[in-house]
Amino acid sequence: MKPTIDEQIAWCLARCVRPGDVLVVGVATPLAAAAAQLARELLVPGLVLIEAAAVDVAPHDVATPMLRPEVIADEAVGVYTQVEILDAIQRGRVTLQFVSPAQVDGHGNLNTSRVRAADGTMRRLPGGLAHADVACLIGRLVAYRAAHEPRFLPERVDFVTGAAGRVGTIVTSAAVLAWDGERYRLASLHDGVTREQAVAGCGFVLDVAARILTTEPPPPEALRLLREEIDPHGMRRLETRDGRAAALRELERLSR
Amino acid sequence: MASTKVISLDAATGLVEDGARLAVGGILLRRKPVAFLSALAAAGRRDLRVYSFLASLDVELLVARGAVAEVHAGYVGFEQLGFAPAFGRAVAAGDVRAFEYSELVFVSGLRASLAGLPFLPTRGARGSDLVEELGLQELACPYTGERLLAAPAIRPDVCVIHAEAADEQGNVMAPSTHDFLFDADATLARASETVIVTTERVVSTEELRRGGALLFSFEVDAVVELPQGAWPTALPGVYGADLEAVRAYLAEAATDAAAAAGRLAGARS
Repeated sequence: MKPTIDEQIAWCLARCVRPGDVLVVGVATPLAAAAAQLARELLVPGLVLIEAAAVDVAPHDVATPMLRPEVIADEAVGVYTQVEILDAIQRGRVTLQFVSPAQVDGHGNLNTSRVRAADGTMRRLPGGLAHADVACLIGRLVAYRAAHEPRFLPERVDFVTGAAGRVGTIVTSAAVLAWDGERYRLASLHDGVTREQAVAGCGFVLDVAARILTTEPPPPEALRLLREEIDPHGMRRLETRDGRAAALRELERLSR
Repeated sequence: MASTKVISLDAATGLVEDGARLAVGGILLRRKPVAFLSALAAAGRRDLRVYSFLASLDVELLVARGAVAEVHAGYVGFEQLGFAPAFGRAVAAGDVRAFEYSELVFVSGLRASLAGLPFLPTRGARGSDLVEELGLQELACPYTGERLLAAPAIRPDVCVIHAEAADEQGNVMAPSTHDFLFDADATLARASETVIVTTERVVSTEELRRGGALLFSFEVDAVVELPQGAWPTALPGVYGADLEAVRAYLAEAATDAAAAAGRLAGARS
């Protein structure tokens, strides 16, 4: 089975989870939600998964919280209040989040607030939620997007929503980039991508070693889980350009 | 027994003056007091300074109908369904001034207000460009010297929330489900000077007691019975979000948001 790009990204995200992690899943990131469950099923069974402030959520279809938000709360061990979840982040109790910013730059700054349009004006995005907070408070951040172009990976973000310092890994549609303390280096290339493509897609100077690994593809069991149990309705493709329209129609059909 | 706090929708919208700081309850597409806000806009209210933690149709409808001067929020949008069209255009045109908050800065501001304090220190948002946008000041911990941000107290003039049930005295039933940030409306209400609760049903105190209280009578100033008052956003445990209606609004608002917002206000049955 050949993985689609959303499935490859989900596996790369899942591989970032370590034993002992407390992972929080944010708003409007079904691909991150799918990856978190994948990690718990196949890689780190003890992962503490906090989704929509519900702690230790039961295995569920990632479409469910979009349609019936009360269900995952009912099936979780318990639910943090608004203040409790933010304080858990503030006191450093959450170790990992997958974030999908509009931009992440060569220094690790995140932008989810506004981007400069071709005519020079700033275009406002819905907003950063807790990105400004998690950027300086969560143990590790993994930034991801189904894209690999200087618009997403500029030298400098157009607006600093979240300050640099915690984005250790960037997962794109072409590659995995890893922070080495001074800059991002090319950690692996997805199947079929050349190093020239990976370099050209970065607006910043990418450190490239002589030999580059190929990104580990999701194993068959990961693909089966994603397609049949974790995300049978393909909500993860809401976060891909090609799959978004169809996934949105499916979401609307499910909501009737 | 105290006298009733149940008043008409007209009387309730009259509690919100032009230019008021208006706190709006609900999170994303859940528990937004849409019917009240539509009535407020229809009453011609102007220059509102809206505080909404994670906003969607609430801010969008008020902006579409020209009722807003400022928006203070951590998010204004429709998640998977897309951006807020009227809000985006009004901010780009300079008609509405938008202040983007981090979640910790917003909640710290509410908690300062709850505690009767002028500000609360926070470790959130450090190094963000939001610090300048919000005019946040730094302070040093007097014990360790650690640099922190001082989140100023958020003290709205009026707060409006929508609940499943309330009694005549103003006790408000707690949400029957513990969905995402189900308790946020209590924090927002207690930070505000005046609190308006719109509700699906006015019930007896006896019935309310069974579900537990979100807010107590002395914390609430007015109760308005408004069945389907959150539609087309969800009231979890009672009705889900009407995504078709939201999508229809967004499609029409791409060209004429004021007309789309007016049509939505007339469509609640």
